[in-house]
Amino acid sequence: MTSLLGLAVNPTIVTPRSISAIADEVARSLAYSRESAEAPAIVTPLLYPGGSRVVLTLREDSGSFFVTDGGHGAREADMMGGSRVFQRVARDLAEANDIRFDSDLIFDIEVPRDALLTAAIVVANASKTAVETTALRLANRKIEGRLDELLVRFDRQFGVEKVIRAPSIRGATEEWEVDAMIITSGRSALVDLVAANANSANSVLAKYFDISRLPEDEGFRRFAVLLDREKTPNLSVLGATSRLVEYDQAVQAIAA
Amino acid sequence: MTGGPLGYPLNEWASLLNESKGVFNWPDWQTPRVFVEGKRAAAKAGRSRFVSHETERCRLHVQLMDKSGASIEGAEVCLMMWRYRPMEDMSAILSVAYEGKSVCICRVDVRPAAPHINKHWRRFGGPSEINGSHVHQFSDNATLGRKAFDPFGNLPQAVPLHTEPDHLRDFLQVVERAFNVDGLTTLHPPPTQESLL
Repeated sequence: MTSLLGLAVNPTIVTPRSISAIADEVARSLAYSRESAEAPAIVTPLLYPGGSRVVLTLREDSGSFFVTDGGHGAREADMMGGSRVFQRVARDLAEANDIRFDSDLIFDIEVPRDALLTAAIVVANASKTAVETTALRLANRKIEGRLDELLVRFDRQFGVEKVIRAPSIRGATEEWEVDAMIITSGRSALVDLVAANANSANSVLAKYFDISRLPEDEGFRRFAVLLDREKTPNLSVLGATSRLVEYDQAVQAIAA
Repeated sequence: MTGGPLGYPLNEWASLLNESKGVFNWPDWQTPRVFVEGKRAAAKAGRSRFVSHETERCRLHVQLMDKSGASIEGAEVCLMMWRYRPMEDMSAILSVAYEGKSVCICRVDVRPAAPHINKHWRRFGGPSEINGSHVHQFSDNATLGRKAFDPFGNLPQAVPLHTEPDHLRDFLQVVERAFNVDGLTTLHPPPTQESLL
């Protein structure tokens, strides 16, 4: 007998009852607690880049709770050489999630018992996201020098007052930071550099997709500036949300 | 294993890993400052600052030398452990300089706080989860290509250690073997202290 997936199935072993039991076992293993000398730890199913599971620590103080990532997010980032980037990212993420980042801990404090699950989920996700964002920024760090160079070219071509660096742009659903905005007589142009890796291409794709959904009269001309056209992945998808232009042709393309 | 203009010089890194290396310098342990919110920022947000020492870490950067006694440009071992949690969650990284960045090519994690998940378990046939000390070997991760060495990849594949190190010396011996470096066990111990609590 084979399953729908074509795998051999022993009907005497896999019954509705046993698969339910297995599902229950998997569900209970997704997150579990561990005793430690100082504070109980909660192993979550979330992963940092590299494969370590996100761990929370829990303490009680006068009837309320203190949930932290134990500083593991900061440590993961430190091992990547991204401490300073992490500190900025974690601070922003903590603020966005109404939790806190201090003393290298992402945490929520004075949490009542009935909000503990929510607090734990938010802290764990913030820690994971902060490390992931740090990793992405480190991967893209190489392009910062090229961006500086391109901004100088824009300044010369369009004038300093017309070149807005790192503006926040509200898309149809989210707010995004792009590398630059050039104010022109028609619709202004947004510019984002794309490095030759999937993370960079996907990041630009997500923001341009959202911005492209703005009404026509509120919209922008969107330019994805390719540092290496031959090696950039997902060009066809990226091209559906923005104009693709090679680095050396960017100034001419935007001025046209 | 690949190398050349489309990727990292993996063959060079494999050679570096395989050659016998020694400790070039006698560095001191560092305790990097943790981020602490400024008084003004805390006041503006209407809260008290939260000051904790529990996340303080000790770090040691060891420059390496080859058999001739010359230092190996851009290669170093970084040992990292918690200041107030000795013999818990310790890591060692072998990194190389490449295009102005430091790239971790091999890592040892001893007594980690959480299990490690091998998301490529099917490809390597090893355990999908390692609940204990493990080594992120260069050779395995090199077969995954460049992405395994980028920060977002961060050496995703690991193999378990057969014996859990009980002492600092055990940890350093594991690191010596994994990175092919002699002399790490002779380094000064870190200024770790017992728990704050």
